Amino acid sequence: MKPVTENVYTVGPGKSLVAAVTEPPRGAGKNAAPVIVILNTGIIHRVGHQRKFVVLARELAARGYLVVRFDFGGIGDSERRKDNLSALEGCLDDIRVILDWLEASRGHRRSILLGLCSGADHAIIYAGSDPRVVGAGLLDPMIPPTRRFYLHYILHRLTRPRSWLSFVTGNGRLFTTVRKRLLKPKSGQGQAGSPEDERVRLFLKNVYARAIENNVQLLSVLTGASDTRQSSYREQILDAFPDLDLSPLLRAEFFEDSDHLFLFEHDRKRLNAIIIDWIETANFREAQEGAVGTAALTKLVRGIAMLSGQIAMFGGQVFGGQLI
Amino acid sequence: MTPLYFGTGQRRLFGVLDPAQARSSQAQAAVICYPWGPEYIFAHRALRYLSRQLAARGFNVLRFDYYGSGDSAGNESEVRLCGWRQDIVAAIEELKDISDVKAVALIGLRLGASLAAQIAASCRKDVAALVLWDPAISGPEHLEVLEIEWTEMAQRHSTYLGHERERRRGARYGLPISEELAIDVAAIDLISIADKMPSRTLCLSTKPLPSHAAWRAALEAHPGGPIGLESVSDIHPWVEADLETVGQLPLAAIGRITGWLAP
Repeated sequence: MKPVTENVYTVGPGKSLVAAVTEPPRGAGKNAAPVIVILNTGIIHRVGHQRKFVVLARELAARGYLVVRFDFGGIGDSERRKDNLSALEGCLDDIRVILDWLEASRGHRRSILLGLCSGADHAIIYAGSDPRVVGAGLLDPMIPPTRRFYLHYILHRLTRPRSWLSFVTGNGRLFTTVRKRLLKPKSGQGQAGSPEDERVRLFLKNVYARAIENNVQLLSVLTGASDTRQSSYREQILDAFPDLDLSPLLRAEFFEDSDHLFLFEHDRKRLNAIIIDWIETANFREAQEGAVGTAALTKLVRGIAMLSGQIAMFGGQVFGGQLI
Repeated sequence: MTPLYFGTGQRRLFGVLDPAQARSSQAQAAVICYPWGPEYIFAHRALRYLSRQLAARGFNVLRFDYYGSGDSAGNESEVRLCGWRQDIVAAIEELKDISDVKAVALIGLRLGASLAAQIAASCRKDVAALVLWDPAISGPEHLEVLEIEWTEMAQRHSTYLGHERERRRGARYGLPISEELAIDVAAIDLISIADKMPSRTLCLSTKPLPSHAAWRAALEAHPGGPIGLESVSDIHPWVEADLETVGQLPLAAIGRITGWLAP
């Protein structure tokens, strides 16, 4: 097999964003296919934990896809932004800059955003605002808990003797969880900025609704052995937003034995196979005309940014905090 | 900041050049050598900061990914340490060429420091100064520490998975690392080459190790005059931070290095 080609570019105003581009072997490119744009996981640079995004990019390029891995401003090798945008707004603007560059320099008008953790959150938040986004691959995105999740969580805890001891004494997390979640499942008073926070749930519902409106194909990969314990079954993403009709656009997968970062090689191999299969089989729409919905996106983001400072999102610091 | 590729077509290496931001009477240049394995990804941010601090003090700085790591060509399974030492030499030559200097400072963290020390010990005339930041002094000790770090990380990120399961599948630290590379790492012995370090060597330690007593003694017996093993109280940027410390930089260690190289 001919080797893929890897090059690096500096992109955007002031050439401040560093983007690594992996291209198919000469003559093997799928010209009409969307470009895959991979986003940072938290403050980890574009290579990814265990080099996972380099390997994925090479596998995709070998199959004919152009792949861009870039660092948000202030992360990895990219320069820190010099404006006053919030961390979240800056990241979303950086995605726009990359898509503008792909369109201007190579004529690509269709992209799939792919990210893990905060990268998944950035992908889905942006996906509804830009007609050039035709797909979003969401690896362990932030997802609100559901009744079934709590049931799984509690059953899991019940199997642990220490949980029983705490429950009997009324001091443990299990006792607290039972009391708070089953007795008041819709209280909406979760920790500020956590998936349990009703304001965050509504924000996420809004961004998924916008992605549906933009006819964006979605891949959701949730993990069950994660330290974050925010998902416990494949359909949780559907149950979390019962008012939305995600099913026609969604492929949902669940890695029961995988950790949040896909640290183990066998999990990454399985993950890459699923991502490739999704990209090759999903019905991504054709390019459509329309302007980037910056104003609506800004309004939406600034609404949630009011929570800035209270929020700590699984190390990703999506909504608040400084990225550098 | 200028990202670039260098090396040969067979061994294409990714690097980032941070050009000198301040003028100095004499051109100065430094090559930064990254750690290995899971330590690489976490250390990247601190070493970028170090690079920019040195650039602000008049150094051209090149940091790069070894073959089979980061954005460089190759796969982890193909890697041997003799190849990575060649990569460091290629980076030195590249930076000398870019900067029009005859010698560079070589800075390494963890395994990168050990490789830098081995290069410096090979009597190269173009290593003007050497900075060893928490080097792997003994290969077996380093492998043991990596195993502990990896186990802690894997356990932190999963509710019930340990590292044993992955080891049975033939991978180390979640990476497809060959047995040959592990043997290469196990063979590292800095104490045996301490006498060959350049006289201008800074050796920093932020984390005590059992090997430090012998390492300190070997450095103090250096034929060009004693080299100190400096202890600095700081965070360890090569391990994953928790939510409380995420984003913090090892400012004391970086300050000591920049102050020593560019007083």
